[in-house]
Amino acid sequence: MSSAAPVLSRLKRPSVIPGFGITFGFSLFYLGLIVLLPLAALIVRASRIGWDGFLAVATDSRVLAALKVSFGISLLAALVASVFGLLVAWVLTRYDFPGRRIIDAVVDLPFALPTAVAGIALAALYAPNGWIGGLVEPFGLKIAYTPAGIFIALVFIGLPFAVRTVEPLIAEIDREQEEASATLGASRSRTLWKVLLPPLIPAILTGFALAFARAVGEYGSVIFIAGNLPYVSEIAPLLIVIKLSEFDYAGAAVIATIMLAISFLALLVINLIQAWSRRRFGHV
Amino acid sequence: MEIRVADVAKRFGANAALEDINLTVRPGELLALLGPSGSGKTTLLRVIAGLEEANQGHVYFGGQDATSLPVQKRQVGFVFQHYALFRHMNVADNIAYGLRARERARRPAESEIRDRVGKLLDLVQLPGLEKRFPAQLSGGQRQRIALARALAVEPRVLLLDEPFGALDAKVRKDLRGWLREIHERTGQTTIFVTHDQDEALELADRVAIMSQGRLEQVGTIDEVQDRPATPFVMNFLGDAVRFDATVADGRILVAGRPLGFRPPQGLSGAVDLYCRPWHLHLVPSEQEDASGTITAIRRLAGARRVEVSGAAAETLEIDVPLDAPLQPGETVHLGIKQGFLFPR
Repeated sequence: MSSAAPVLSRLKRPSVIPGFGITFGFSLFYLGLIVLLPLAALIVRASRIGWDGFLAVATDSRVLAALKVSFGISLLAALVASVFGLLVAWVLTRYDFPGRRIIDAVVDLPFALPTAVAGIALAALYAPNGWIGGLVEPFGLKIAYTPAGIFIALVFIGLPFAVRTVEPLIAEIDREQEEASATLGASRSRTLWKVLLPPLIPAILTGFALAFARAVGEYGSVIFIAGNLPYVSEIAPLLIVIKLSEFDYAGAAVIATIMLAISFLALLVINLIQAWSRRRFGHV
Repeated sequence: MEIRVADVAKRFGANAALEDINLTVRPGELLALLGPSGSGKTTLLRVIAGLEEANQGHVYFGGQDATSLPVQKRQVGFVFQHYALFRHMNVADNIAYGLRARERARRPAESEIRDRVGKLLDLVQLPGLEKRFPAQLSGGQRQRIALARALAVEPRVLLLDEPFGALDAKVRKDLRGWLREIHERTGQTTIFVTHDQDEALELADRVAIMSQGRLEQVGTIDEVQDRPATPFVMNFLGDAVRFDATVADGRILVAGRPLGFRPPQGLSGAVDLYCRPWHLHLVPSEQEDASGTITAIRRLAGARRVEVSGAAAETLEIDVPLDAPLQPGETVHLGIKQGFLFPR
């Protein structure tokens, strides 16, 4: 009691807006019910088959291949989405051109579109008989039904995250900073690299993390374009669905747990980099 | 270095921001561009810096035509009202930015850059702050760092755009004296923009007064105070009262009565007579040049300020000794000792 009292009084600071207790309690309850409970259930489920069973599923070559496809292509797609997202955000905030508002609205489409619709549309475009697939087919290139197709789908769904996170920061850039750089004799490219981009790095990383997280979890749009060949273009979420349809609930839970662990680690690393970059570049 | 602006005009759409500007800034001079907001003074500064392109006219840096030189090549030091320091760089990196941006052949060695940064920090009286970030500095300190950054590149001319505009009154006053001191020490040709005539009068060797995109007058403080070129200059530099007057037979007549001083040559007919408050004094009724009714009396520290209506075109204020026996509603008789005449 004596040790709890100061902690309580520290939490119960007088405030203009009432309701800290009820909002904090509700947040915790919600987090527990919606996020932590299912995750705990997942881990419990996975642990039910024992350590040996876990290892057997985890080291299965098909599972490993699927995880590699999922995380590898997600990483690549998030990188590309970040770069293009930065460009799109730059163009949308810095320039005024006819149709700017329409393009601005189009950026959000991947958010709103049911992912299956996006998948079907992309598959139709990039299939060997589709508009774009047909163009590259004569060169012996295949996009749909290969890992390249997965990559395109993941860039598509990751782009809005990258755009929307950096956009407000680009809009905030002070023109005088560029002018100061120019009067000091710096070339345009030096101004871009030394003055304009560094303050954007934390936001670019946030966009990257969101795009990456979304890409790892993406299912709907990918399965239509991936071709889903085991060992080649089969993503881990699809493997989970397959295990489920075979009533191998424990196997599905193991793959899910591994995905959870890797995702968690990846986000942790990104957050650490972000914290560092904020210290390094974020002195606002 | 001498800076010369010749026939410069600048339009933003249909609006003329600068018209017909001719101005020569002497080497080593501290010149103030003074004017109300919207008078074009900042635009003129930006044209000189190369941040804005003039639609017409030329800018010369010591005889060299710099009109088509891009801002990066003009070698100017520009200080912005809101500092424009690079927030993600510490003080040392901010100051060294211009030196590091030079092409390799002209770039000093890192050790020399560090040296220069230290010297500049001494010059702006902020030694030892190399590792701080702009967010950790006060407004006055930031502006000093911004000046150090601008001086680091050894500019041909130093341009300051309302450098003290964002600072509070006390810091502003300190920095004025400090800027004057730095200017005396470096002898840098400097142009600064301000809307505060006290600041301009206190700091500058000469002032260029602007209104609506035009130069009204360029001169020393004495010149603009003692020989204002236009009614605008007269009004902008302090309180001024206007009287309707006529010039005839070498005399100035106000309400038909001649004044005690002579008009300048070549002026005749209806004119505007502008007076400073100290050009007016109380006289016995038989010597009056104008008279009006007292509408209010206010006590100042060492005098009383009397508001008089009916004497001049607008209500005027004069200061009288504390012991002057005046009451609101009374009629006062004013003598006009001096004034400036402008053709109508």
